[in-house]
Order: sequence, then C-alpha cells, then structure tokens
Amino acid sequence: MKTDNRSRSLTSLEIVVVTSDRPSSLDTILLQLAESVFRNAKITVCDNGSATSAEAVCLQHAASLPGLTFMRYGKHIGVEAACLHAVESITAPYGWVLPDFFEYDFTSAQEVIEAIESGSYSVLHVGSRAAIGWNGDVSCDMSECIRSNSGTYYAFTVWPSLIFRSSYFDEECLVRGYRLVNNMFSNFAFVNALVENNAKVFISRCPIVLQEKEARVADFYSCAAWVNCCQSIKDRALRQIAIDAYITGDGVSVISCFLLDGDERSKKLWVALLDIVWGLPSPKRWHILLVSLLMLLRLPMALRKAVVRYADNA
Amino acid sequence: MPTMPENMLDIFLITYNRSAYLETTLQQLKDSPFSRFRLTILDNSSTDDTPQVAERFRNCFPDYRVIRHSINIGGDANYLRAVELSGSIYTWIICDDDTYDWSAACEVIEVVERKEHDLIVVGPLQPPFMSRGRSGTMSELVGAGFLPHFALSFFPACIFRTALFDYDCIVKGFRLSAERYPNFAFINKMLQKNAIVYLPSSEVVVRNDVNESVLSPLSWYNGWLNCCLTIPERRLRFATIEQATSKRGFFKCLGFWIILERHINKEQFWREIFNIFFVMNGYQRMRFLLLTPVIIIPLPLRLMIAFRSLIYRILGVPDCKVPPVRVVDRDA
Repeated sequence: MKTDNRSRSLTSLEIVVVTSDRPSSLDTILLQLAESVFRNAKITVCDNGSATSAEAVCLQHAASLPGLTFMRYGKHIGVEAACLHAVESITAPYGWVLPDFFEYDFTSAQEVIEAIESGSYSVLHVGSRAAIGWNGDVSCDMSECIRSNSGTYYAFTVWPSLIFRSSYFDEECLVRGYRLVNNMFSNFAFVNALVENNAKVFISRCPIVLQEKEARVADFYSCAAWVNCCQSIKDRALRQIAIDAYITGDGVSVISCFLLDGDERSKKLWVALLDIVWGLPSPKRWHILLVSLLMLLRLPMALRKAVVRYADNA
Repeated sequence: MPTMPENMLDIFLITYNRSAYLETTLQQLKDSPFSRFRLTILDNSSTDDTPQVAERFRNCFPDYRVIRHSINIGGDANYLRAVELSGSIYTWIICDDDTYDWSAACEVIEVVERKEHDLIVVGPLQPPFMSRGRSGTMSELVGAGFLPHFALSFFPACIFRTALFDYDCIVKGFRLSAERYPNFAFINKMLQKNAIVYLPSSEVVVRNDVNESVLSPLSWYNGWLNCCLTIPERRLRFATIEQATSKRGFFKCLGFWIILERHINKEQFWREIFNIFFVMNGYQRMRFLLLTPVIIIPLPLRLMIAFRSLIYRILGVPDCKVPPVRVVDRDA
C-alpha cells in the first residue's frame, strides 16, 4: 500500500529555521515546507532578535504546519551562534538547521525522507552534488566522500546542507563550535567529528539547498579563518587538501587579498597572515612570506596589483 | 510607570559541575541584601548533583529560576547566554566559586536604584590602590590609572546596564570566546562610550584564584594578548598587556610556560610564539627576546618542574599557592 507522505508524521526529524529580520524569506520557506513532504515534521522557528515580527509570519502558517513552534532569542546573537543555539534545542533523532538566507527546493525530497526513516545514516547531504564533486551512489562513508573532491570539506560546513543525527552533534562539537564562531565555520568541529568517525553519509540526488542569497564574503580574514579551522584537522594530507580547496576552489587568491587589503599597519592583519602562513603547505608558505616582505617595503597599490596579476597568471 | 526596584537587576549564576561551590554561593546570596532580586541559575548541563542543589534553594529567593541547558555549551557561551536572557535594567553575572563581602551591598543597591551609572565595579580594582567610594567617567578613571580590561574581564566584577551589552558586543563576544574573554568587546564599548562608572567603598566579590585552567598557560596568555589587540587606544593596549606581563608577574612565568607549551602543544608552539611577539610593542618584544634560549633550546620538562619547585621553595611560597602543572589538551 502506498503511504501518503503528506499525512504521515515525521517524528525522526526536527527542522529549525533560524531567522532574523527577513520576514519575506521566512514566509517563503514556511510556505515551501507546508507544501512539501516535511510538513508534518516538528518545525521550530528561532527568531534571532528580529525587529520585524517573525511571530506574525509563523501564525499565518500555523494551520498548514501542525508541528510549528516559535521561539525568540533574547537578543540578536549573530547567525553562527544562532545556528549552534538551534542545535541545542533539537530533541528528535535527526536535526536540520535552515538559516533564512538560503534558497530551498523541497519538492524532490522523498528519498531524503526514506533515508531519515531508515535511521542508518549519520548525516545526509542535501546540498549540490557538484559542490562535493560526487557522482556515485547515494550512500557512502565520509572518508570516501571527502577524498573524492577537494571542495567537500568546505561544502559540508554549509549549515543547511546537512541533516545530521543529533547525537553526533555532541557537547564537544558544540563547545568547540562556539569557539569557532570567531572563524565563521561554527560547525567545523562537527564535520571533523564526522570525518574522524568515518560517518555513514547519504548524498541526495536532488539538491534541496539551492544557493545562498547573501554569499559568504571571501576576503582575507575569511581565508585566515578557514585556514585556522583547518588546523584542527588531524590528518595532515586532508588538512592540506581542505586548505588548498578554499584558496583555489573558491576563487580566492590569498596573495591578492593580502596585497589589495592595503592596511599593512593593522596588527590584526599580520596576525591573520600568521595564521594563513602557518596553515599552508611549505611552497605556498614561502611564496606568501616573500609577498609579505614586498608589502613591508610599502609598495604602491598599482605595483601590488601588477604583482597580483603576475602571481595569478603564474 | 516607575520600575519596581526588584525588576532593576537580574542576577545570573553560571555553573557547571561544581555543586559544592554552588551550594556555598547560594547560601551566601540567600543571606544577602541581593536576595530580593531575580536570581537565575544557568546550569550548563552538569552531570553532578547541581540540579538537586539548585532545587533545594527554590524557596529561599522570591524570584528564582533554574535554566538547565540540554547540553554543555562551554563557560563563555553560558556567560553570553546570560546576557541574552537578561530582561532587567541592570545585569550581574556571577560564577559559582567566588566569595562575597556584603559590606557595600546596600550602597550598590542604592546606586542600582538610582539608574544613573552604566557600570558598578564590585570586583577587585586594578591597580588595587585606587581610591573607592566614588563615581566617574571611564576616561577619568583611566586617567587616574584604572586599567579596566584586567579588572572587568573577571565576569562577576561588574554590574552593568543591560542595554549597553548590545548585538555588537554579543557577536564580538562570541568571536572573543575563542580567546576566553567574551566580555572584552563590551569593556571596549564602555571605554568608547565613556561610561559612567561607580566604584563602591569596598569590593563585593572576592576572587577565587585556586581554579585550574583547562588551557595551557601560554595559550591562555596568547589569548589574552589577542584580546588586547581589540583595544583601540594604543597606549591603553600596551599598558594592559604590560599589566599582565610585568605587573602581575607573568613575565617571570613566561619562560616556564614556553617550556611547558613545547611539550604539550607542539603543533601550535611556534605559531603562538610568533603571535605573542607580533602583538607586543617594541619594548615588550626586546624583553621577550631575553627568553630566546628557552624558546630555541628544548629543555626537559620534568627537570624544569623540579627546578621551578626549588625556586618556589627558596622564595618561601607555600605549596597551596604554587600554581599546579597539569598537562592538558589545548582544546579540552
């Protein structure tokens, strides 16, 4: 007998929508969820100190989403901390944190529901397959997945791309996560835990997470933050793959960021540079040290740009 | 409508797995003039008998609540959670292991009720010889030699106007929690805003210095220096670094900390050494360079521990005052 997924309750999954002053985005997400196979899941909207009324938007959807609840943080605490705060409140076996600044398509999620209900996966990747360069089966383990493509580590740190077994996101991941808010990748410790335990992964064929409406700013400091996070990867080879993927894969040239930043008197910049240099493999490390030396000579900006063009071409 | 005095101040007690200390702290609070204000226990999902101890005091306070997190979120995040939850005009976040002297309690409550001040410094002052029982703006106090960062980074040291610990301070606080000082951004804001500060006639919180840190000492010092980088005013920044490094005697310990770090945190050792060097000013760097031999030459840790004990013995420091050496994982 075919089960009607629209009426079946989904007790294994808890969805937390983190919102902050984007009522139209919240409205769209709730509308999409109401029309999807997730409509009967427990859905909590966490209002991260919005000045606009997120609660009013939730009330409009209360009838179509039976498991919808609303909670409000006392103050706006920033998106990374808000996502971690959301994880704390999850009680179902699987959790899914959806920030309101992503675009979603929940229409082809039947296989995801089945994977959740099978209970055999530690994490489900519902972002783009292209981001992790995966063409294989829906089921694999973390080491297979992470070694298949250099961008995988980065793709796994995108919060809504992961539906995770809540018991996996333990105290250690959370405490380390709050410390990593500084580094903008607050679920990095969780991804590390997945890799270290070689967790079983489900990779969705159809992406649910389409794209970020406000893409992460790829600047010098975010580069330093990524390299800093990567230092917590125990496997040396994997660490270098993850660092390389961000520096090249995201289209960011560390050198150009650094040279074009122009504020060489900032100690913060130099400390960030130290983090980058420390995390890089040797040849790149020397390259950047050389560039830093040029910077210390206070080259004019036009000359710096010329060096960047040369470095990019090389 | 005037605010009821009891709604003027929210007291948060952050605790984790120290039920005996918690009991002593609650006992002290119960008998204090502060017992009439709202008290919230933020239990960081303790695994000992903290919930039972907290429950025993339920009837001792008129406005009392216990919030137990479903999972341990770490001490710094717990501190910021208290800020997030506070709904009163003033907030006081206290820890579970300090002792209190209530001599100036009524004076502090009067100041709270007057609502004129942004900060009330109830902890020890830095430097300790500063005169008390007065108020002034932050710039006046700094001009008189007050170094706010060291004094106020001790969580219970100040009662603050809640509205001033805003979004910016919370977000930056989370960022600085990696360095273990989540209220540094708030202290910076108090300086920029030139907050009105009250120094009561005596300190209310007596700091307990017997805690073992889970961080290696050099990592902790490095974190302190990184936080100091956020102090916008250059002279104050170096005075604050200098206060910890020289006036509090950390420089004397640095050599040993470096040796210890080489043994327990090999991967980050050189990064931390360079980082410390970067953050310091010219004079501090020159002095740091005096430690080059211990930085370069790997010395056996056990020998250095024995040597350190000998030095403490020669100096006549009692065993209970000697900081314990615990080899710990940096991220523990």
